Amino acid sequence: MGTKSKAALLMLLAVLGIALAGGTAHADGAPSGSDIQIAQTLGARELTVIIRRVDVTPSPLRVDVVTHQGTAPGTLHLAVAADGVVTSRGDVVLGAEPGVYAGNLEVGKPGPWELSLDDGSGTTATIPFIVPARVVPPWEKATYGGFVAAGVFLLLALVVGVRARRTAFALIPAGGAVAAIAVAVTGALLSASTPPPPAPGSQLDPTYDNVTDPYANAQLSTVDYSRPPVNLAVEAERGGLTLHLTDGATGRPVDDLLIHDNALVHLVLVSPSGRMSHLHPVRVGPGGYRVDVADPEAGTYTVAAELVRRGGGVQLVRSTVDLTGTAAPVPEPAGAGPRTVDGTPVDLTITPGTPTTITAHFKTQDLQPWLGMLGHLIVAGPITGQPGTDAAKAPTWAHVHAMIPPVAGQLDRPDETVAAYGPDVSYTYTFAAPGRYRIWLQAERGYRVLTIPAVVDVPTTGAGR
Amino acid sequence: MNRPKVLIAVVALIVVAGVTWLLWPAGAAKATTQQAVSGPYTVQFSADAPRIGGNTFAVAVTGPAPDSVLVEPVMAQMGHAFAPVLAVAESSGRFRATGVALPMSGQWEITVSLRGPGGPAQVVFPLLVK
Repeated sequence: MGTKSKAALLMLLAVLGIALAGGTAHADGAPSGSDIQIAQTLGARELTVIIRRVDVTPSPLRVDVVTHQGTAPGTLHLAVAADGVVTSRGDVVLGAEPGVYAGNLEVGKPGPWELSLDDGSGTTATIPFIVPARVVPPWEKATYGGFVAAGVFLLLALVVGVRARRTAFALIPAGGAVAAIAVAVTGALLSASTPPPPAPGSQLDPTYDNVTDPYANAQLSTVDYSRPPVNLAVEAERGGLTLHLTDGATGRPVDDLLIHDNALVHLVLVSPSGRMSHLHPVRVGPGGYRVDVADPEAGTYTVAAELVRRGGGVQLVRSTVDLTGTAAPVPEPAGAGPRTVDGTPVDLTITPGTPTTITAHFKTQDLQPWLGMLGHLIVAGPITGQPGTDAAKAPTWAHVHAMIPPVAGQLDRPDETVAAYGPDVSYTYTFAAPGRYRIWLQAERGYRVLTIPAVVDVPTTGAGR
Repeated sequence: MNRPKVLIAVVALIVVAGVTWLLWPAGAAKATTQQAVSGPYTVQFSADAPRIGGNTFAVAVTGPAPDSVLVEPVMAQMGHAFAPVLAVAESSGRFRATGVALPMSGQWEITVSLRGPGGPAQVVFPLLVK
Protein backbone atom coordinates (compact mmCIF):
# COMPACT_ATOMS: atom_id res chain seq x y z
CA MET A 1 0.00 0.00 0.00
CA GLY A 2 2.86 2.30 0.89
CA THR A 3 4.55 1.93 -2.48
CA LYS A 4 1.21 2.26 -4.26
CA SER A 5 0.36 5.55 -2.61
CA LYS A 6 3.91 6.80 -3.14
CA ALA A 7 3.66 6.05 -6.86
CA ALA A 8 0.28 7.78 -7.07
CA LEU A 9 1.62 10.77 -5.19
CA LEU A 10 4.60 10.95 -7.55
CA MET A 11 2.24 10.93 -10.49
CA LEU A 12 0.08 13.64 -9.00
CA LEU A 13 3.16 15.78 -8.54
CA ALA A 14 4.26 15.10 -12.12
CA VAL A 15 0.86 16.11 -13.49
CA LEU A 16 0.82 19.21 -11.34
CA GLY A 17 4.30 20.05 -12.59
CA ILE A 18 3.17 19.78 -16.22
CA ALA A 19 0.07 21.83 -15.54
CA LEU A 20 2.06 24.57 -13.82
CA ALA A 21 4.65 24.59 -16.60
CA GLY A 22 1.78 25.05 -19.03
CA GLY A 23 0.67 28.02 -16.98
CA THR A 24 3.82 29.97 -17.81
CA ALA A 25 2.50 30.27 -21.37
CA HIS A 26 1.16 33.65 -20.26
CA ALA A 27 4.67 35.03 -20.15
CA ASP A 28 5.33 33.99 -23.73
CA GLY A 29 2.74 36.29 -25.33
CA ALA A 30 3.88 38.37 -28.26
CA PRO A 31 5.89 41.46 -27.36
CA SER A 32 3.08 43.90 -26.79
CA GLY A 33 4.69 47.25 -26.27
CA SER A 34 7.42 49.54 -27.39
CA ASP A 35 8.63 53.00 -26.46
CA ILE A 36 6.48 55.89 -27.64
CA GLN A 37 8.48 58.89 -28.85
CA ILE A 38 6.58 62.08 -29.42
CA ALA A 39 7.81 65.58 -30.24
CA GLN A 40 6.04 68.43 -28.47
CA THR A 41 6.46 72.16 -29.03
CA LEU A 42 5.32 73.17 -25.56
CA GLY A 43 5.52 76.92 -25.06
CA ALA A 44 8.99 78.02 -26.15
CA ARG A 45 10.43 74.55 -25.62
CA GLU A 46 10.89 71.90 -28.29
CA LEU A 47 10.77 68.64 -26.37
CA THR A 48 10.80 64.98 -27.21
CA VAL A 49 8.75 62.95 -24.78
CA ILE A 50 9.57 59.26 -24.57
CA ILE A 51 7.00 57.06 -22.84
CA ARG A 52 8.89 53.89 -22.03
CA ARG A 53 7.27 50.55 -22.71
CA VAL A 54 5.12 48.95 -20.06
CA ASP A 55 4.80 45.17 -20.03
CA VAL A 56 2.68 44.38 -17.00
CA THR A 57 0.28 46.43 -14.94
CA PRO A 58 0.27 47.87 -12.36
CA SER A 59 3.70 49.17 -13.11
CA PRO A 60 5.88 52.23 -12.84
CA LEU A 61 5.77 54.35 -15.97
CA ARG A 62 8.99 56.04 -16.93
CA VAL A 63 8.69 59.17 -19.01
CA ASP A 64 11.88 60.66 -20.43
CA VAL A 65 11.89 64.23 -21.66
CA VAL A 66 14.62 65.15 -24.13
CA THR A 67 15.52 68.83 -24.27
CA HIS A 68 17.40 70.66 -27.00
CA GLN A 69 19.89 73.52 -27.25
CA GLY A 70 18.25 76.65 -25.97
CA THR A 71 15.55 74.86 -23.95
CA ALA A 72 14.96 76.89 -20.83
CA PRO A 73 15.44 75.08 -17.51
CA GLY A 74 12.31 74.62 -15.44
CA THR A 75 9.85 72.10 -14.09
CA LEU A 76 7.28 70.13 -16.03
CA HIS A 77 4.31 68.76 -14.14
CA LEU A 78 3.34 65.37 -15.48
CA ALA A 79 0.18 63.41 -14.78
CA VAL A 80 -1.43 60.29 -16.16
CA ALA A 81 -5.16 59.77 -16.27
CA ALA A 82 -7.45 56.90 -17.21
CA ASP A 83 -11.21 57.40 -17.66
CA GLY A 84 -10.61 61.10 -17.08
CA VAL A 85 -9.32 60.52 -13.56
CA VAL A 86 -5.72 61.42 -12.71
CA THR A 87 -4.08 58.51 -10.92
CA SER A 88 -0.46 59.52 -10.71
CA ARG A 89 1.58 62.74 -10.80
CA GLY A 90 5.25 63.51 -11.06
CA ASP A 91 7.61 66.34 -11.87
CA VAL A 92 10.45 66.46 -14.36
CA VAL A 93 13.05 69.07 -13.58
CA LEU A 94 14.66 70.24 -16.80
CA GLY A 95 18.24 71.39 -16.47
CA ALA A 96 20.04 74.01 -18.51
CA GLU A 97 22.06 71.40 -20.40
CA PRO A 98 20.28 69.69 -23.29
CA GLY A 99 19.76 66.00 -22.66
CA VAL A 100 17.40 63.46 -21.13
CA TYR A 101 15.44 64.21 -17.96
CA ALA A 102 13.43 61.44 -16.37
CA GLY A 103 10.08 61.41 -14.65
CA ASN A 104 8.39 58.52 -12.89
CA LEU A 105 4.68 57.86 -12.80
CA GLU A 106 2.52 54.81 -12.33
CA VAL A 107 -0.12 53.09 -14.41
CA GLY A 108 -2.57 50.74 -12.78
CA LYS A 109 -4.32 48.95 -15.61
CA PRO A 110 -4.11 48.33 -19.33
CA GLY A 111 -6.16 50.37 -21.80
CA PRO A 112 -6.27 53.96 -23.04
CA TRP A 113 -4.41 56.52 -20.94
CA GLU A 114 -3.62 60.19 -21.24
CA LEU A 115 -0.32 61.78 -20.27
CA SER A 116 -0.45 65.50 -19.56
CA LEU A 117 2.48 67.91 -19.46
CA ASP A 118 2.09 71.29 -17.84
CA ASP A 119 4.90 73.83 -17.99
CA GLY A 120 3.09 76.31 -15.77
CA SER A 121 2.40 78.76 -18.59
CA GLY A 122 -1.27 77.89 -18.95
CA THR A 123 -0.96 75.43 -21.80
CA THR A 124 -1.31 71.78 -20.86
CA ALA A 125 -0.31 69.24 -23.48
CA THR A 126 -2.15 65.94 -23.43
CA ILE A 127 -0.86 62.81 -25.15
CA PRO A 128 -3.21 59.84 -25.52
CA PHE A 129 -1.40 56.51 -25.36
CA ILE A 130 -2.21 52.87 -24.79
CA VAL A 131 -0.91 50.64 -22.04
CA PRO A 132 -0.99 47.20 -23.62
CA ALA A 133 -2.28 44.09 -21.90
CA ARG A 134 -0.75 40.67 -21.99
CA VAL A 135 -2.91 38.74 -24.38
CA VAL A 136 -2.73 34.99 -24.92
CA PRO A 137 -3.90 34.26 -28.47
CA PRO A 138 -6.39 31.38 -28.87
CA TRP A 139 -3.93 29.30 -30.90
CA GLU A 140 -1.42 29.56 -28.08
CA LYS A 141 -4.01 28.34 -25.61
CA ALA A 142 -4.75 25.40 -27.91
CA THR A 143 -1.07 24.58 -28.38
CA TYR A 144 0.00 24.73 -24.76
CA GLY A 145 -3.24 23.19 -23.53
CA GLY A 146 -2.95 20.42 -26.11
CA PHE A 147 0.58 19.49 -25.10
CA VAL A 148 -0.29 19.56 -21.40
CA ALA A 149 -3.28 17.30 -22.05
CA ALA A 150 -1.14 14.97 -24.17
CA GLY A 151 1.33 14.63 -21.29
CA VAL A 152 -1.43 13.89 -18.84
CA PHE A 153 -3.03 11.31 -21.13
CA LEU A 154 0.37 9.66 -21.68
CA LEU A 155 0.85 9.25 -17.94
CA LEU A 156 -2.67 7.95 -17.64
CA ALA A 157 -2.01 5.45 -20.41
CA LEU A 158 1.11 4.22 -18.60
CA VAL A 159 -0.74 3.76 -15.34
CA VAL A 160 -3.66 2.03 -16.98
CA GLY A 161 -1.30 -0.18 -18.97
CA VAL A 162 0.50 -1.30 -15.82
CA ARG A 163 -2.43 -1.57 -13.46
CA ALA A 164 -5.54 -2.41 -15.43
CA ARG A 165 -6.71 -6.00 -15.78
CA ARG A 166 -6.56 -5.69 -19.56
CA THR A 167 -3.64 -3.86 -21.14
CA ALA A 168 -5.86 -2.91 -24.07
CA PHE A 169 -7.65 -0.37 -21.83
CA ALA A 170 -4.48 1.75 -22.15
CA LEU A 171 -5.49 2.46 -25.74
CA ILE A 172 -8.27 4.78 -24.53
CA PRO A 173 -6.02 7.37 -22.85
CA ALA A 174 -3.45 6.80 -25.62
CA GLY A 175 -6.10 7.85 -28.14
CA GLY A 176 -6.68 10.93 -26.02
CA ALA A 177 -2.97 11.72 -26.18
CA VAL A 178 -3.01 11.47 -29.99
CA ALA A 179 -6.03 13.76 -30.20
CA ALA A 180 -4.43 16.28 -27.81
CA ILE A 181 -1.20 16.32 -29.84
CA ALA A 182 -3.25 16.86 -33.02
CA VAL A 183 -4.92 19.89 -31.42
CA ALA A 184 -1.59 21.27 -30.22
CA VAL A 185 0.20 20.79 -33.55
CA THR A 186 -2.71 22.30 -35.51
CA GLY A 187 -2.69 25.33 -33.22
CA ALA A 188 1.07 25.73 -33.59
CA LEU A 189 1.02 25.34 -37.38
CA LEU A 190 -1.90 27.75 -37.84
CA SER A 191 -0.30 30.37 -35.59
CA ALA A 192 1.87 31.73 -38.40
CA SER A 193 -1.05 32.30 -40.75
CA THR A 194 -3.69 33.40 -38.23
CA PRO A 195 -4.45 37.07 -38.92
CA PRO A 196 -4.11 39.29 -35.86
CA PRO A 197 -7.32 40.89 -34.59
CA PRO A 198 -7.94 44.57 -35.44
CA ALA A 199 -5.49 46.60 -33.40
CA PRO A 200 -6.94 48.90 -30.73
CA GLY A 201 -5.40 52.32 -31.24
CA SER A 202 -4.26 52.14 -34.86
CA GLN A 203 -7.48 50.60 -36.25
CA LEU A 204 -10.12 50.69 -33.55
CA ASP A 205 -10.80 53.31 -30.91
CA PRO A 206 -9.04 51.90 -27.85
CA THR A 207 -11.14 50.92 -24.85
CA TYR A 208 -10.29 48.89 -21.78
CA ASP A 209 -12.31 46.00 -23.25
CA ASN A 210 -10.65 45.76 -26.63
CA VAL A 211 -7.14 46.30 -25.28
CA THR A 212 -7.50 43.45 -22.79
CA ASP A 213 -9.39 41.14 -25.15
CA PRO A 214 -8.60 42.04 -28.78
CA TYR A 215 -9.57 38.56 -30.00
CA ALA A 216 -13.18 39.25 -29.07
CA ASN A 217 -13.27 41.46 -32.20
CA ALA A 218 -11.43 39.06 -34.50
CA GLN A 219 -14.66 38.42 -36.44
CA LEU A 220 -15.11 42.06 -37.40
CA SER A 221 -15.78 42.23 -41.14
CA THR A 222 -14.28 45.68 -41.66
CA VAL A 223 -11.62 45.75 -44.36
CA ASP A 224 -10.98 49.49 -44.61
CA TYR A 225 -10.41 51.23 -41.32
CA SER A 226 -9.50 54.59 -42.87
CA ARG A 227 -11.40 57.72 -41.91
CA PRO A 228 -12.44 60.89 -43.72
CA PRO A 229 -9.98 63.74 -44.38
CA VAL A 230 -9.70 66.62 -41.92
CA ASN A 231 -10.46 70.30 -42.22
CA LEU A 232 -7.93 72.64 -40.67
CA ALA A 233 -8.78 76.05 -39.24
CA VAL A 234 -5.77 78.11 -38.15
CA GLU A 235 -6.14 81.01 -35.78
CA ALA A 236 -3.36 83.38 -34.74
CA GLU A 237 -3.56 84.28 -31.05
CA ARG A 238 -1.39 84.89 -28.00
CA GLY A 239 1.97 84.68 -29.77
CA GLY A 240 1.14 81.45 -31.53
CA LEU A 241 -1.34 79.44 -33.48
CA THR A 242 -4.40 77.47 -32.48
CA LEU A 243 -5.42 74.69 -34.81
CA HIS A 244 -8.92 73.25 -34.98
CA LEU A 245 -9.24 69.93 -36.73
CA THR A 246 -12.68 68.82 -37.80
CA ASP A 247 -13.85 65.71 -39.62
CA GLY A 248 -14.42 66.29 -43.32
CA ALA A 249 -17.59 64.19 -43.31
CA THR A 250 -19.31 64.97 -40.02
CA GLY A 251 -17.85 68.30 -38.88
CA ARG A 252 -17.04 66.87 -35.47
CA PRO A 253 -13.71 67.47 -33.73
CA VAL A 254 -11.04 65.04 -34.89
CA ASP A 255 -9.65 63.37 -31.81
CA ASP A 256 -8.18 60.19 -33.24
CA LEU A 257 -4.74 61.30 -34.42
CA LEU A 258 -2.05 58.65 -34.31
CA ILE A 259 1.58 59.28 -33.56
CA HIS A 260 3.26 59.37 -36.94
CA ASP A 261 6.98 59.99 -37.36
CA ASN A 262 7.10 60.77 -33.63
CA ALA A 263 4.43 63.48 -33.56
CA LEU A 264 0.66 63.91 -33.61
CA VAL A 265 0.88 66.87 -35.99
CA HIS A 266 3.91 67.95 -37.98
CA LEU A 267 3.33 71.64 -38.58
CA VAL A 268 5.59 73.34 -41.09
CA LEU A 269 5.50 77.12 -41.25
CA VAL A 270 7.11 79.18 -44.00
CA SER A 271 7.53 82.84 -43.09
CA PRO A 272 6.85 85.63 -45.61
CA SER A 273 10.58 85.85 -46.44
CA GLY A 274 11.16 82.08 -46.40
CA ARG A 275 12.17 81.00 -42.87
CA MET A 276 10.98 77.49 -42.21
CA SER A 277 9.91 76.16 -38.82
CA HIS A 278 9.02 72.51 -38.24
CA LEU A 279 6.89 72.47 -35.10
CA HIS A 280 4.80 69.94 -33.20
CA PRO A 281 1.60 71.45 -31.80
CA VAL A 282 0.44 70.09 -28.48
CA ARG A 283 -3.02 68.65 -28.02
CA VAL A 284 -5.03 70.91 -25.74
CA GLY A 285 -8.43 69.28 -26.22
CA PRO A 286 -10.43 67.16 -28.64
CA GLY A 287 -9.44 68.41 -32.11
CA GLY A 288 -7.63 71.39 -30.61
CA TYR A 289 -3.90 71.97 -30.96
CA ARG A 290 -1.72 74.86 -29.91
CA VAL A 291 1.78 75.97 -30.86
CA ASP A 292 3.86 79.00 -29.98
CA VAL A 293 5.62 80.85 -32.78
CA ALA A 294 8.79 82.55 -31.59
CA ASP A 295 9.57 86.01 -32.96
CA PRO A 296 7.37 86.02 -36.07
CA GLU A 297 7.68 88.23 -39.13
CA ALA A 298 4.78 90.38 -40.16
CA GLY A 299 2.82 89.00 -43.10
CA THR A 300 1.38 85.83 -44.54
CA TYR A 301 2.73 82.49 -43.39
CA THR A 302 2.25 79.18 -45.15
CA VAL A 303 0.90 76.53 -42.79
CA ALA A 304 1.20 72.84 -43.68
CA ALA A 305 0.05 70.12 -41.30
CA GLU A 306 0.87 66.45 -41.72
CA LEU A 307 -1.11 64.02 -39.65
CA VAL A 308 -2.51 60.51 -39.54
CA ARG A 309 -5.97 59.58 -38.36
CA ARG A 310 -6.92 56.26 -36.86
CA GLY A 311 -7.23 53.73 -39.67
CA GLY A 312 -4.13 55.01 -41.39
CA GLY A 313 -3.06 57.17 -44.28
CA VAL A 314 -1.00 60.32 -43.97
CA GLN A 315 -2.91 63.51 -44.67
CA LEU A 316 -1.47 66.87 -45.63
CA VAL A 317 -3.47 70.07 -45.24
CA ARG A 318 -2.11 73.43 -46.37
CA SER A 319 -3.35 76.85 -45.44
CA THR A 320 -2.12 80.36 -44.70
CA VAL A 321 -2.28 82.58 -41.66
CA ASP A 322 -1.42 86.25 -41.16
CA LEU A 323 0.89 87.02 -38.25
CA THR A 324 2.13 90.27 -36.81
CA GLY A 325 5.70 90.60 -35.60
CA THR A 326 8.94 92.49 -35.84
CA ALA A 327 11.48 89.92 -37.07
CA ALA A 328 13.59 91.12 -40.00
CA PRO A 329 13.09 89.25 -43.28
CA VAL A 330 15.84 86.87 -44.44
CA PRO A 331 17.42 87.12 -47.91
CA GLU A 332 17.02 84.33 -50.45
CA PRO A 333 19.48 81.53 -49.55
CA ALA A 334 22.26 80.19 -51.80
CA GLY A 335 22.13 76.98 -53.81
CA ALA A 336 24.79 74.27 -53.47
CA GLY A 337 28.04 75.01 -51.65
CA PRO A 338 29.61 75.18 -48.20
CA ARG A 339 28.11 77.21 -45.37
CA THR A 340 27.98 77.32 -41.59
CA VAL A 341 24.66 76.83 -39.81
CA ASP A 342 24.48 77.52 -36.05
CA GLY A 343 28.23 76.90 -35.79
CA THR A 344 28.19 73.65 -37.76
CA PRO A 345 30.00 73.67 -41.12
CA VAL A 346 28.09 71.83 -43.82
CA ASP A 347 28.61 71.41 -47.56
CA LEU A 348 25.57 71.05 -49.77
CA THR A 349 25.80 69.23 -53.10
CA ILE A 350 22.95 69.02 -55.56
CA THR A 351 23.14 66.38 -58.29
CA PRO A 352 20.58 67.50 -60.83
CA GLY A 353 18.58 65.10 -62.93
CA THR A 354 15.43 63.05 -62.71
CA PRO A 355 15.49 62.30 -59.84
CA THR A 356 17.67 64.93 -58.16
CA THR A 357 19.90 63.99 -55.24
CA ILE A 358 20.64 66.58 -52.58
CA THR A 359 23.32 65.74 -50.03
CA ALA A 360 24.40 67.61 -46.91
CA HIS A 361 27.99 66.72 -45.97
CA PHE A 362 28.75 67.29 -42.31
CA LYS A 363 32.31 67.07 -41.04
CA THR A 364 31.70 64.60 -38.21
CA GLN A 365 29.76 61.40 -37.70
CA ASP A 366 27.77 62.58 -34.70
CA LEU A 367 24.29 63.30 -36.02
CA GLN A 368 21.34 62.33 -33.87
CA PRO A 369 17.99 60.96 -35.00
CA TRP A 370 15.23 63.55 -34.97
CA LEU A 371 11.63 62.39 -35.22
CA GLY A 372 12.95 58.91 -35.87
CA MET A 373 14.81 60.02 -38.99
CA LEU A 374 18.35 61.01 -39.83
CA GLY A 375 17.13 64.01 -41.75
CA HIS A 376 14.10 65.83 -43.08
CA LEU A 377 13.83 67.85 -46.26
CA ILE A 378 10.97 70.22 -46.99
CA VAL A 379 10.51 71.23 -50.62
CA ALA A 380 8.15 73.92 -51.90
CA GLY A 381 7.93 75.36 -55.38
CA PRO A 382 8.20 76.57 -57.99
CA ILE A 383 8.18 79.88 -56.12
CA THR A 384 8.26 83.21 -57.91
CA GLY A 385 7.02 85.69 -55.34
CA GLN A 386 6.91 85.72 -51.55
CA PRO A 387 7.65 82.25 -50.13
CA GLY A 388 5.14 82.70 -47.31
CA THR A 389 2.29 83.22 -49.76
CA ASP A 390 3.50 81.03 -52.61
CA ALA A 391 4.42 77.90 -50.67
CA ALA A 392 0.78 77.42 -49.62
CA LYS A 393 -0.36 77.10 -53.23
CA ALA A 394 2.84 75.81 -54.86
CA PRO A 395 2.24 72.75 -57.06
CA THR A 396 4.94 70.86 -55.18
CA TRP A 397 5.02 70.51 -51.42
CA ALA A 398 7.19 67.66 -50.21
CA HIS A 399 8.49 66.26 -46.96
CA VAL A 400 11.41 63.96 -47.84
CA HIS A 401 13.09 61.67 -45.32
CA ALA A 402 16.60 60.34 -44.92
CA MET A 403 16.14 57.29 -42.75
CA ILE A 404 18.30 55.88 -39.99
CA PRO A 405 20.16 52.80 -41.26
CA PRO A 406 18.01 50.01 -39.83
CA VAL A 407 19.52 47.37 -37.55
CA ALA A 408 18.24 43.87 -38.29
CA GLY A 409 16.13 42.46 -35.49
CA GLN A 410 15.86 45.72 -33.57
CA LEU A 411 12.25 46.78 -33.22
CA ASP A 412 12.69 49.92 -31.16
CA ARG A 413 14.23 52.75 -33.10
CA PRO A 414 17.15 54.59 -31.52
CA ASP A 415 16.21 57.76 -29.68
CA GLU A 416 17.98 61.08 -29.78
CA THR A 417 20.64 60.06 -27.31
CA VAL A 418 22.39 58.02 -30.03
CA ALA A 419 24.77 60.51 -31.71
CA ALA A 420 26.41 58.19 -34.21
CA TYR A 421 25.00 58.92 -37.64
CA GLY A 422 26.15 60.80 -40.72
CA PRO A 423 28.34 62.48 -41.76
CA ASP A 424 26.39 62.60 -45.04
CA VAL A 425 22.63 63.03 -45.22
CA SER A 426 21.23 62.31 -48.64
CA TYR A 427 17.79 62.94 -50.13
CA THR A 428 16.52 61.95 -53.55
CA TYR A 429 13.51 63.69 -55.00
CA THR A 430 11.87 63.85 -58.41
CA PHE A 431 10.91 67.42 -59.25
CA ALA A 432 7.71 67.48 -61.28
CA ALA A 433 8.18 70.79 -63.10
CA PRO A 434 11.00 73.22 -63.91
CA GLY A 435 11.43 76.34 -61.82
CA ARG A 436 12.97 77.70 -58.65
CA TYR A 437 12.27 75.66 -55.53
CA ARG A 438 12.87 76.54 -51.90
CA ILE A 439 14.25 73.64 -49.88
CA TRP A 440 15.06 73.30 -46.18
CA LEU A 441 17.20 70.44 -44.89
CA GLN A 442 16.99 69.45 -41.26
CA ALA A 443 19.26 67.28 -39.12
CA GLU A 444 20.10 67.19 -35.44
CA ARG A 445 23.57 67.56 -33.95
CA GLY A 446 24.50 68.27 -30.34
CA TYR A 447 20.78 68.41 -29.40
CA ARG A 448 20.30 71.27 -31.86
CA VAL A 449 18.04 70.92 -34.87
CA LEU A 450 19.92 72.49 -37.77
CA THR A 451 17.85 73.96 -40.58
CA ILE A 452 19.70 74.58 -43.82
CA PRO A 453 17.77 76.69 -46.33
CA ALA A 454 18.72 76.57 -50.00
CA VAL A 455 17.30 77.05 -53.48
CA VAL A 456 17.23 74.50 -56.28
CA ASP A 457 16.83 75.59 -59.89
CA VAL A 458 15.28 72.86 -61.99
CA PRO A 459 16.00 73.63 -65.67
CA THR A 460 13.46 73.16 -68.46
CA THR A 461 15.72 70.97 -70.61
CA GLY A 462 19.17 69.38 -70.56
CA ALA A 463 20.93 67.03 -68.15
CA GLY A 464 19.13 68.61 -65.22
CA ARG A 465 15.79 67.20 -66.35
CA MET B 1 -6.98 1.36 0.95
CA ASN B 2 -8.18 2.95 -2.22
CA ARG B 3 -5.88 5.90 -1.86
CA PRO B 4 -4.32 5.48 -5.34
CA LYS B 5 -7.77 5.54 -6.89
CA VAL B 6 -8.68 8.65 -4.98
CA LEU B 7 -5.47 10.32 -6.11
CA ILE B 8 -6.10 9.32 -9.70
CA ALA B 9 -9.60 10.76 -9.40
CA VAL B 10 -8.06 13.98 -8.10
CA VAL B 11 -5.72 14.05 -11.09
CA ALA B 12 -8.64 13.51 -13.44
CA LEU B 13 -10.50 16.33 -11.70
CA ILE B 14 -7.53 18.67 -12.20
CA VAL B 15 -7.39 17.75 -15.89
CA VAL B 16 -11.09 18.43 -16.33
CA ALA B 17 -10.73 21.74 -14.50
CA GLY B 18 -7.79 22.69 -16.71
CA VAL B 19 -9.64 21.84 -19.92
CA THR B 20 -12.69 23.77 -18.73
CA TRP B 21 -10.51 26.78 -17.98
CA LEU B 22 -8.93 26.61 -21.43
CA LEU B 23 -12.20 26.25 -23.28
CA TRP B 24 -14.27 28.65 -21.17
CA PRO B 25 -15.89 31.17 -23.51
CA ALA B 26 -14.23 34.53 -22.94
CA GLY B 27 -16.32 37.61 -22.31
CA ALA B 28 -19.79 36.51 -23.35
CA ALA B 29 -21.94 39.62 -24.00
CA LYS B 30 -20.86 41.75 -21.08
CA ALA B 31 -22.11 45.25 -20.56
CA THR B 32 -19.67 47.92 -21.69
CA THR B 33 -19.26 50.78 -19.26
CA GLN B 34 -16.92 53.63 -20.00
CA GLN B 35 -16.17 56.82 -18.14
CA ALA B 36 -14.97 60.23 -19.21
CA VAL B 37 -14.52 63.59 -17.54
CA SER B 38 -15.24 66.94 -19.16
CA GLY B 39 -15.24 70.13 -17.17
CA PRO B 40 -17.39 69.67 -14.06
CA TYR B 41 -19.07 66.51 -15.37
CA THR B 42 -18.10 62.91 -14.90
CA VAL B 43 -20.02 60.86 -17.44
CA GLN B 44 -20.51 57.12 -17.38
CA PHE B 45 -21.82 55.47 -20.48
CA SER B 46 -23.09 51.92 -20.70
CA ALA B 47 -24.40 49.97 -23.61
CA ASP B 48 -25.83 46.50 -23.09
CA ALA B 49 -24.34 44.31 -25.83
CA PRO B 50 -24.34 46.85 -28.66
CA ARG B 51 -25.92 45.40 -31.77
CA ILE B 52 -27.12 46.27 -35.26
CA GLY B 53 -30.52 47.94 -34.95
CA GLY B 54 -32.07 49.74 -31.99
CA ASN B 55 -29.90 50.17 -28.92
CA THR B 56 -30.43 51.43 -25.42
CA PHE B 57 -27.74 53.51 -23.80
CA ALA B 58 -27.57 54.48 -20.15
CA VAL B 59 -25.80 57.70 -19.21
CA ALA B 60 -24.94 58.55 -15.62
CA VAL B 61 -23.76 62.08 -14.90
CA THR B 62 -22.15 63.22 -11.68
CA GLY B 63 -21.52 66.90 -11.11
CA PRO B 64 -23.98 69.71 -11.83
CA ALA B 65 -27.31 68.34 -13.07
CA PRO B 66 -27.59 68.82 -16.83
CA ASP B 67 -30.78 70.19 -18.40
CA SER B 68 -30.51 68.01 -21.45
CA VAL B 69 -28.47 65.01 -22.51
CA LEU B 70 -28.17 64.16 -26.19
CA VAL B 71 -26.68 61.03 -27.68
CA GLU B 72 -25.16 61.54 -31.11
CA PRO B 73 -23.93 58.45 -32.97
CA VAL B 74 -21.29 58.66 -35.72
CA MET B 75 -20.17 55.80 -37.93
CA ALA B 76 -16.50 56.74 -37.91
CA GLN B 77 -15.29 54.68 -40.86
CA MET B 78 -18.15 55.74 -43.12
CA GLY B 79 -18.05 59.41 -42.14
CA HIS B 80 -21.77 59.28 -41.40
CA ALA B 81 -23.27 61.21 -38.49
CA PHE B 82 -26.80 60.47 -37.31
CA ALA B 83 -29.39 62.81 -35.86
CA PRO B 84 -29.10 63.22 -32.07
CA VAL B 85 -31.34 61.18 -29.78
CA LEU B 86 -32.58 62.73 -26.54
CA ALA B 87 -31.73 60.78 -23.41
CA VAL B 88 -34.65 60.84 -20.98
CA ALA B 89 -34.00 61.47 -17.29
CA GLU B 90 -34.87 58.43 -15.17
CA SER B 91 -33.69 59.67 -11.82
CA SER B 92 -31.25 62.25 -10.55
CA GLY B 93 -28.18 62.10 -12.80
CA ARG B 94 -29.38 59.02 -14.68
CA PHE B 95 -30.49 59.19 -18.28
CA ARG B 96 -31.54 56.59 -20.81
CA ALA B 97 -31.61 56.87 -24.58
CA THR B 98 -33.73 54.20 -26.23
CA GLY B 99 -34.08 53.20 -29.85
CA VAL B 100 -30.71 54.57 -30.94
CA ALA B 101 -30.33 53.08 -34.40
CA LEU B 102 -26.89 51.74 -35.28
CA PRO B 103 -27.47 50.25 -38.72
CA MET B 104 -24.14 48.51 -39.30
CA SER B 105 -21.32 46.73 -37.52
CA GLY B 106 -17.97 48.38 -36.97
CA GLN B 107 -16.52 51.29 -35.08
CA TRP B 108 -19.07 53.78 -33.79
CA GLU B 109 -18.36 56.87 -31.79
CA ILE B 110 -21.13 58.05 -29.51
CA THR B 111 -20.93 61.70 -28.53
CA VAL B 112 -22.79 62.54 -25.34
CA SER B 113 -23.69 66.25 -25.31
CA LEU B 114 -24.59 67.86 -22.03
CA ARG B 115 -26.21 71.25 -21.57
CA GLY B 116 -27.03 72.88 -18.31
CA PRO B 117 -25.90 75.22 -15.56
CA GLY B 118 -22.49 73.52 -15.52
CA GLY B 119 -21.95 74.70 -19.09
CA PRO B 120 -21.98 72.73 -22.31
CA ALA B 121 -19.76 69.67 -22.61
CA GLN B 122 -19.22 66.89 -25.06
CA VAL B 123 -17.62 63.54 -24.41
CA VAL B 124 -17.07 60.80 -26.94
CA PHE B 125 -17.34 57.09 -26.23
CA PRO B 126 -16.13 54.53 -28.75
CA LEU B 127 -18.50 51.65 -29.30
CA LEU B 128 -17.86 48.53 -31.31
CA VAL B 129 -20.84 46.87 -32.91
CA LYS B 130 -20.25 43.25 -33.89
